[in-house]
Amino acid sequence: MGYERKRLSGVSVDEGIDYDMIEVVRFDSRVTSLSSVRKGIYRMSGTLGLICREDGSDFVVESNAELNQLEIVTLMRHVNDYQLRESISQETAAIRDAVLAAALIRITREHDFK
Amino acid sequence: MTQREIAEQSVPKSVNWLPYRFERLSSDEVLVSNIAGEWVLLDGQQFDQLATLSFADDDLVKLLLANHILITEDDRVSGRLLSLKLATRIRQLPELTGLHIFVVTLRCDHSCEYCQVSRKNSNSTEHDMSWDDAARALDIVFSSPSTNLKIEFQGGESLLNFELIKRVVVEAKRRNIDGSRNLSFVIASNLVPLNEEILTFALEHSIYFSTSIDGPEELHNSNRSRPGRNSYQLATDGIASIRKTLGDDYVSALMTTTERSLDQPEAIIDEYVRLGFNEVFLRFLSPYGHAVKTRAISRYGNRQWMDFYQRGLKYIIELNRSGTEVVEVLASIYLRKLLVNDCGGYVDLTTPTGAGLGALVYNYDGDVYASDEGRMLREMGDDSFKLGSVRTHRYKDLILSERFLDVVEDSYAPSSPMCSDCALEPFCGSDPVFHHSTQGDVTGFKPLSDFCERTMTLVPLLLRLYREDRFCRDLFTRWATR
Repeated sequence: MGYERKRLSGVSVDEGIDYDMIEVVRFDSRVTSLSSVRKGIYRMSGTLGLICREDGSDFVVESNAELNQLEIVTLMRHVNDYQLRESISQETAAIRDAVLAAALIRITREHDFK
Repeated sequence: MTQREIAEQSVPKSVNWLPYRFERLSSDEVLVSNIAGEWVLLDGQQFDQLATLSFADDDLVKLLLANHILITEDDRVSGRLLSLKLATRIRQLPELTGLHIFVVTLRCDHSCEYCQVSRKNSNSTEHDMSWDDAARALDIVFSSPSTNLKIEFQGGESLLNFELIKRVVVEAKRRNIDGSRNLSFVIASNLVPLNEEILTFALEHSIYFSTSIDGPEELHNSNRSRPGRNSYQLATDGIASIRKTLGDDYVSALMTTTERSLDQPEAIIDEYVRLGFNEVFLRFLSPYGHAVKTRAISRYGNRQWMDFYQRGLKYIIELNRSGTEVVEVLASIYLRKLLVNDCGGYVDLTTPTGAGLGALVYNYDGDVYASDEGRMLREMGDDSFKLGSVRTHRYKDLILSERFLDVVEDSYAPSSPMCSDCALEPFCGSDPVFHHSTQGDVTGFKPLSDFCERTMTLVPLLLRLYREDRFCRDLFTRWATR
């Protein structure tokens, strides 16, 4: 995982408006999932215009404006955190489903749903 | 489990994760919570141990086992305990629709700048609810499965249609003659029309009153204008009359934050204490109705309100520290979720949404809405949360309509973007009406959501106070268990 900055060709976001997109960071798709990258982008998109595209085996995050160092570090941290959450979710899926089902069965038995 | 019990446990050789979520609250502070709402605050180094399952700290392992974040390989009990806690947490789900709001009239003698209802002139009865519609609404009330039914009368000024209130109360009690429901009544009123007849009736039927006090007299009167500029005097006279006739517990008050309130949270709280109230609800101004037309809602932002709130909460804590017992209601709602696994009660902070599932609103014209805010939106020309009419729909038609179920599903926090991964989700809620109103989407775009920002700011604030201040720990426990 690393990042480099280069100015890419324009992206048409709305009719007649083109934005120059700037490459912000690349994630190796062999170790980082697309959903983690997307969630990281979503988390940052309150104030930033970010998109993701595939380039070979990389997921490339692009922005409509230069990001400062803190924003880039924050984005990378979010993506890493979402990657960890994904691992937790996958590894605990069976017990989570069992716990949820047991709780719902308990509630259903206690109430008369006519 | 107590700290001592945790410390006395032996450390197992092999542990695994139970389902948990985490959120970094600061550079060295991580909130970890599980699906039943149990939580721990870890520093960065402790969280790294959890994330890698390589523990250098035995006490940390014990803490995480006790809070069902970790499980040992041979543990056959923790999964059952977790499901029991989760069942307790969602036990209110089958108790659908306990709150039923009757908008008995839109007439009102006040012209408050923040009014979310779009009131009508007080001498015209064309905006009064008819008895026929009220009786049909009662059919729906008694079709809802909840054993606890609260009927709340709202307006306009509800007491301007007191004759209808009387008929509804008597008829509701007649229908509950077998006592199968716990029936209660609340009149939301500015108390101006209050008189002996109303008080006598309220005493006979144990009716509660909810009124508005925005703060000191000058602030209250400037927010809540009426002919004579005496809203404060009439409201406080009414409070005194209710207390004298029915008792202290039969009247409560709510405040609404306007731009003028922002620099005086202490004065507002002092006013509540002076008037003998032991709780204050520091509320955000909702983006509906007259508040939008008069731009009252756009005069301050979420950050300003949160500064106001934090200043107010700090002052309330200091009052308690010096012996004056007063509760901040919003904090107590969050704390019930955080400390005693109680997620019921406040419809704006539940998931699935409390709109419709927790409350139904019967408008003066017989239309039924999923929430009071949904009704307010209709007054602005947006009927997105109109579920039907008492004239044509039964309870099941309203609750099981495709339109409403879509709203419930689309706003369900555990499957919403960002919320589904958020460690604060068990302590937050879904507010599809707010997000529809502010963003045009019932799910809500959380990076720009005021609703999300409030929980993400206020819950960590409460957690830090709970952890770092022994007095707050005891105080918050009392607030959560009251």
